[in-house]
Amino acid sequence: MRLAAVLALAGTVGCAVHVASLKVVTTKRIPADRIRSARSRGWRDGHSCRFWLVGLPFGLPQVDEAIDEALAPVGGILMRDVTVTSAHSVYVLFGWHCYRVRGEVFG
Amino acid sequence: MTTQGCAGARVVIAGSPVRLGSWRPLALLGLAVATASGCTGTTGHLALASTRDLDLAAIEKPSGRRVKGRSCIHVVTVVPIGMPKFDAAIEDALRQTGGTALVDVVVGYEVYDIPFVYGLACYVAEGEAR
Repeated sequence: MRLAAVLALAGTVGCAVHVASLKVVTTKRIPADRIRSARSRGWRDGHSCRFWLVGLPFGLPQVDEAIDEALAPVGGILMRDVTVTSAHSVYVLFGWHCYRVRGEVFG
Repeated sequence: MTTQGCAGARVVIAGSPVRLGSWRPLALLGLAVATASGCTGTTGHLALASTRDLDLAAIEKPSGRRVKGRSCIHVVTVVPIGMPKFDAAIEDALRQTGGTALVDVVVGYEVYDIPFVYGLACYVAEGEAR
């Protein structure tokens, strides 16, 4: 029992790596004048995750999903000064791969 | 003459265990080729993305050239040498045109791998440069 707990703990790992820094990004087509008039709605986070089991992924996380999650709560249309992180969490035989975005939302 | 020479060579190879051993690298190469694999996936669709200060006048232009940029790393045995970055893939695409932004961007991932020998992992960004 104790050995199983130790093995489970040893197999529980995670890591996150920075994969992008973007000056501006959006998932929606916006006219330039709308971009000019956009006002800051604060710094927001979003993420998109996919589960995997014994090495088999159930799809790939999507950066646009993560961005939409950050934009939606404040009615944002674009993000500036965005950092994108790819995060992996492993619980022995299963885990998640996620994209996390953080940036200043404008809307 | 040529046929005889080939036949003679075949006899020598078949009769020599040392020469037979020389097939081992070929067998390993064959195994490597047989187990080589590749996969690609899409990790995002973005309407607009830029790593540079945005020129709003430029994004209003009717159309730009469609370009593709890559950021790749090598995987030696099972050890990745660095991490691919998708901002570097966008920058690589922008460098080809001198634009400030990509529109209608597809961000993808490509992996080519000979298990436990060598691999190549890339982020790919394709879009219209403005």
